Amino acid sequence: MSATIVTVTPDQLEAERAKILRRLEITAEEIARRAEEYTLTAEQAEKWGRLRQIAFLLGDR
Amino acid sequence: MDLRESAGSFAAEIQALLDGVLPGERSVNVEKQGQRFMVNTRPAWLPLMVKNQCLAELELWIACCADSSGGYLAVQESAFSLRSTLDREPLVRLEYDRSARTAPAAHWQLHAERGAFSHLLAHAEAKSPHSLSSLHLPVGGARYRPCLEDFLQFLICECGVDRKDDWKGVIENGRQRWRLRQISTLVRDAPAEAARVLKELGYQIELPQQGQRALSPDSLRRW
Repeated sequence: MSATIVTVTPDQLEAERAKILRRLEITAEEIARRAEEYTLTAEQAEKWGRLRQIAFLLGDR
Repeated sequence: MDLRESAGSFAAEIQALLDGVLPGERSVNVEKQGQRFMVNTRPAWLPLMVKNQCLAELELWIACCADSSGGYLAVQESAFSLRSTLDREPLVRLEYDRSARTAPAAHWQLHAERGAFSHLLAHAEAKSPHSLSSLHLPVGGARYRPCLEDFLQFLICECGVDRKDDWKGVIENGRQRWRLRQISTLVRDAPAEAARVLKELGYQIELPQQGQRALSPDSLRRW
């Protein structure tokens, strides 16, 4: 038994990250700073997990 | 089994676990980029019902890559988060980061307020004295950390989340599988100790030709 595996490209991940940040009207540095200081809004916290996932897949973490 | 196959079967185990424990439907997927794998869910936040009413949501993702030997899939990071539907703010999080250097690798974070604790932290000049979520409560490091099954049982037994009839057997089977895997890893960390205990139990152990394998102190000493 195996789950579906989707191959994603760095370009796709970068585009998704840019879209999330655009919607949140924040920069990657600013949201990382707010996470570090535990001051994310609920809307930012909702997407913070996905941003961390993208960073991992891109090898940024 | 190569890393891709390992990631696929690992995600399938999580799918079966969630389907065996929680009502409703969801899918567990794997995203692959190079030799990095992300196991996550659709939807990203899974609804949690209490008496058939959606009162909370669960986010879970597990980031995997090759272990130090390059031959096995290892969890690099994971996050299990519970949030309320009332204000969509996190309530508790159980996180793991294999590379963490300052915070404990495995930790709970509790999103709550407690005046007396803030008082203590303010005097200690902590970075965020008013935010208890800034504290990382250590839970056993890389090897002895809680598993997803523990988090799910916490949701059911402590938070009253709706579950399927046979949830407990599914969770206990999964937890046993997890702990057996951790034992395998611990034996690789400390083979001499494993051999000593097996000898005490009457097993006959021979040293490999290349001699005793060294202790891996990092995972045993770090919090």
